Amino acid sequence: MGMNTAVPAKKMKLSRTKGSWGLYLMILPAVVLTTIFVYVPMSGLLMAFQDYKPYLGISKSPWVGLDQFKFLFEYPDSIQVIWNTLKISFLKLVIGMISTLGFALLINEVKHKFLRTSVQTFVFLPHFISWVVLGGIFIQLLNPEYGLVNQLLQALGQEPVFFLGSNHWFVPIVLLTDAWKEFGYGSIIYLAALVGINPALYEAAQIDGAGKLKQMLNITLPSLIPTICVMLTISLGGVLNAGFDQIFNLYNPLVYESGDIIDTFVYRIGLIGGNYSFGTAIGLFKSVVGLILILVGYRIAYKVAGYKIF
Amino acid sequence: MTMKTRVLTVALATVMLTIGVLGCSNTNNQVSESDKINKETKKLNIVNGKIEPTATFTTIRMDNPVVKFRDGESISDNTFTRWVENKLGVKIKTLWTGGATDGSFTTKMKLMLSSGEKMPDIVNVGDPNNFNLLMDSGKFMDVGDVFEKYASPAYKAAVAEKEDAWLPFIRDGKKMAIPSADEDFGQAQSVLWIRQDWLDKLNLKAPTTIGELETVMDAFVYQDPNGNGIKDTFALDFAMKERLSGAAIGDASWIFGLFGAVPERWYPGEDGKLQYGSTQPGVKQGLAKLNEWKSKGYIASDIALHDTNTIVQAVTSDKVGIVAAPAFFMGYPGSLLQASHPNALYVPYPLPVGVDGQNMRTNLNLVGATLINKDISDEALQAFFHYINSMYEGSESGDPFYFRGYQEGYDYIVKDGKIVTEEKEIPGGKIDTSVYVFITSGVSPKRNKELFDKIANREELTDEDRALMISTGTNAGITPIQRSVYDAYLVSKKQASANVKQYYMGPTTSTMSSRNELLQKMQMEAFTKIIYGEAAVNTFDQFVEKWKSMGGDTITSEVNEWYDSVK
Amino acid sequence: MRTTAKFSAFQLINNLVMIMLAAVCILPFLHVLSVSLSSSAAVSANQVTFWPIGLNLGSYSKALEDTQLLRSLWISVERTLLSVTLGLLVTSMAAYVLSKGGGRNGIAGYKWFVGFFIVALLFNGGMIPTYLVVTKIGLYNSIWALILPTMVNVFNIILIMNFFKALPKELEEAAFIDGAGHWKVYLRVMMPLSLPVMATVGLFTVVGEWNEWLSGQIYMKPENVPLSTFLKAAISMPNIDIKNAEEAAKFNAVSLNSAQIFIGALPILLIYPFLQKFFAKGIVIGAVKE
Repeated sequence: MGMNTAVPAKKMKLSRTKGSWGLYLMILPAVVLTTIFVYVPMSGLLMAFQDYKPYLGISKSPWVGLDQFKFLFEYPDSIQVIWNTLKISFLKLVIGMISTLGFALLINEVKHKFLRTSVQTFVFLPHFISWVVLGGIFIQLLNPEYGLVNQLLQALGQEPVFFLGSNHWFVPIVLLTDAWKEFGYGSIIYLAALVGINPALYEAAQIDGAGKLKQMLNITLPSLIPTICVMLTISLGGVLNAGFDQIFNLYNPLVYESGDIIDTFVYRIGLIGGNYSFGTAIGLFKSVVGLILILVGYRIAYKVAGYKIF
Repeated sequence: MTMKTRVLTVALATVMLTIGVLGCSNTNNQVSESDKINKETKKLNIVNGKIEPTATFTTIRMDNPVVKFRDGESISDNTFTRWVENKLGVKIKTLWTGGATDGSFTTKMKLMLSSGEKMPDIVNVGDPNNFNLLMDSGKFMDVGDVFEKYASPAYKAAVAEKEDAWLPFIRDGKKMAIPSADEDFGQAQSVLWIRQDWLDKLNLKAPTTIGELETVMDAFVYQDPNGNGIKDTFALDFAMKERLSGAAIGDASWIFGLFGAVPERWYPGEDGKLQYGSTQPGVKQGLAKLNEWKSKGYIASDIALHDTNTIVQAVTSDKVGIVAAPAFFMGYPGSLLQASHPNALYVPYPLPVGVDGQNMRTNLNLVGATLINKDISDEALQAFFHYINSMYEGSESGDPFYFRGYQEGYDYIVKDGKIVTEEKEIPGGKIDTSVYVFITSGVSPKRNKELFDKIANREELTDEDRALMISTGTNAGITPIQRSVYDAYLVSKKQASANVKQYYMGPTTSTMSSRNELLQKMQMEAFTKIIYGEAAVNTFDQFVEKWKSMGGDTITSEVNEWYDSVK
Repeated sequence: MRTTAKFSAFQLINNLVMIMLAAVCILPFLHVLSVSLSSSAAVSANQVTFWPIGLNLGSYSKALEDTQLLRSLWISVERTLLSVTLGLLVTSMAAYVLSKGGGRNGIAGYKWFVGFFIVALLFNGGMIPTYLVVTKIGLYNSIWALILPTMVNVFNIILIMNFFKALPKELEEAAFIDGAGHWKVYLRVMMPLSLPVMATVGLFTVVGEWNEWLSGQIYMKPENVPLSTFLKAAISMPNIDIKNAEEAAKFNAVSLNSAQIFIGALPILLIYPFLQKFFAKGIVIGAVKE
């Protein structure tokens, strides 16, 4: 298979457009920088197979083979922790996609220029508030006794709920607050993509008598498919990152069952005494899973949407 | 298919390629052996307590944002460091400083270790993770001999005063760090801080038994003690988001202590062997009681989320009646509460008597240590000991003005032959120089305790006492908040028998590093569910079984092996 | 006629929904801003909603008093500008090359290059090895230590590359037929057409570089740290003990964080209105028509 692709490539070389050496020159800086600052330090990944001690360095730290990975998989709660991570992360991805895209489509329909600009600027703001601060705000809002949400519930004749202490509610709260925080900032990419749509298409549709909704479904959305494919595929690479800062600031022992994720687990392990190797092993595991999912996503995007991301 | 294989090959190939580049990061470690042989012990030339010419040792130090400086001064260059240089002939060279609370000190220290940089001559750290890392690094010396050889009698005596001081620093029989002589003598132990204004308003007296405590708690919740007409108070607050014992504010260990157990601590049982507090029957009773209190509404319904920060917030919003906290509680967060509620007042009280007449609470061990680079030059080593010996001798000398050289004009001024410490009298404002001091202000724990007792009991102070107070940054308890510190100290001192220290001070064993997280998570999950009534109190027994089988028993034997070796 | 009425009803509802969304986003931010300007006691007691109580510039003034602030501000500006311009140049060049694919107009070993970047997107060796590389090549305490390691952002390459791919091919082909080389096509044809994506990537870079603090902490001497690092250190919570409990009460973690949040969001508040025109509909097509 490798041979097959190599042969036509060689043939093509002879007939490349003039000045193709320029292409190599253009990609060179990115390749050099990536090599120096990403690939060379990647030797640090070897720590995952060691019992790394900072003062011994990678060359002298003892090798332990797959012990660090074994520890993760033999840990009694690991299935639950990995499952929680995947669940939260996938749901965040889906909800995030819907909310950012939905917002981009709707704000795009706002004709009033000042309104559009100000709304767009304001929705970026939550992105900048750290979870330490938001954690405090949400804990207050959701307080079972005097929190605003429960006061509303009580006014409606409902029983108050300890949202952050309930395995039933914890994940929905995490998803909702995350979507709120990021939809505005995330929509920038779609707004940029919307710019590229040919207005002639809308004009033609209008002449054909297509309504707003039809235009959105038949013109706007299809034009965004490449961007959606790119965003979804790349996000798959981070599917084992379910959002440490957020969970860490909201969770508690009552919701370990539904809310404990890989990163909070690694954090608690770290508290016992800087285990670099374990952290690196987890990072490596996450990257490998991410890589596999990106490749799967690439195939799916190609098969389903007929779009090649790269 | 091809894409996948290519991507993976690229990854592998480059990793292989780069191993060579970084593989050889720590190469020049071999110098020390020959150095040691050439090292001739040469007495430094000391004239009138000053080394001539000036000798230097290097160190790294922590920043704390509350520390105040005069213009142009910093933790590495200030009135104190200049005094040390001019008076003692010792230059303390600070290689870098890093924030204590934002983690930058630890990050920088780890990078320094990893990059094979030369470590400083002297490192003084207080965080067990940090000193364990440094002790195990092989870059610091067995301090036993040099301490014996160079430390002055006063310095040795100060360290010796502290019980078991060396235990956390012994590795394979070697003393890998000099323990700090600071000792807590009660200020750091939690006492019960109760809203006195609420007690007075509801005509209650401070509880001395569990029954009385419950009466007070009931009133604090159901009789609107803050008088705003809304039921928005809770009686008792404590931290339980991550652990039950040892929170800076809101320690919960005393609740279990009423039933004869301290969770999360190793202490001797009846057979003299160390046992783990969390699995003792007293904890089961404590959990049953907390469950009862929770269902009666005495504690917040989101107590599972409470940690020090949430407690501070609840206290400041005028919502909490009782919190266990150290002597500084009225300073922080009490002063915040008073800023918005001027009549609010917490007063320290002893713990109510436990079920069998006993009390227990966790004891905060203050541990700090000084490590000495094994490649330190003989000159730097002697300079360090000359510095620290001089500090101890200064406060033993009986000369109240020994440290005047760096204190005058900062902590006080001399006006008409008298010491004046008032803020407004000192040009440029009063500055507490005790925080500039490196490692120790030289006051022995015993002497410090005597001083504290004197102030607490409102005894007459001598000039020497006042000088020591300036050296250690101790106040005279004049303002109500300052005074509350001494009141709490006296309360805590009377119940000193309740303090249960962490008896295990050895290194983290391999079972601990692989199992502690799991066991702690299991514990918090089981205990929280019992408190919330989501699981029956009897599930405690299942927890104990699980704890034992999942590594607890192994850890118990490892802990006792260590305990036997040091007993 | 009926359709227009429907349109305006949709417009009206849509506008209202958007205003509500904006409110839901701006209120917490206003709250945080008020918190950053309020007294520590009022903040702890939950008294602050959307207006400062017990006005206190403490969180800001402590940082503002320090002359290091201006220096750090300048370093941040310098770092951000260099990162954005060089980063956009390097990533868009790489994206241009990759957008050509492996075919006749592209480069040999296209798939190897893609693999090379995808792996770089996902794997990293962690802080310690990166620190060793940066210091070994002599970047310690150099502003380039803040710029070079993060300059190539693979996500941005993929984004720009896909934008390039979506552009109409006609212009490019016409230029090639006119005898233009790759450099000319990249600079004269592709770049002018790509302003929306450049604005997006530029915005992400500005925000990212402005707020990143760790590299300042580990690579720079204290007098050369960027604003983000300076603020993180200058306004962190103190240790609380007997000696300084009362002093520590003047600090409030939430207030301190709030000040940082406001400064963190500042660039986007300042820049976004100017970038608006790149997000306006139809500019790409307009450019093509020229």
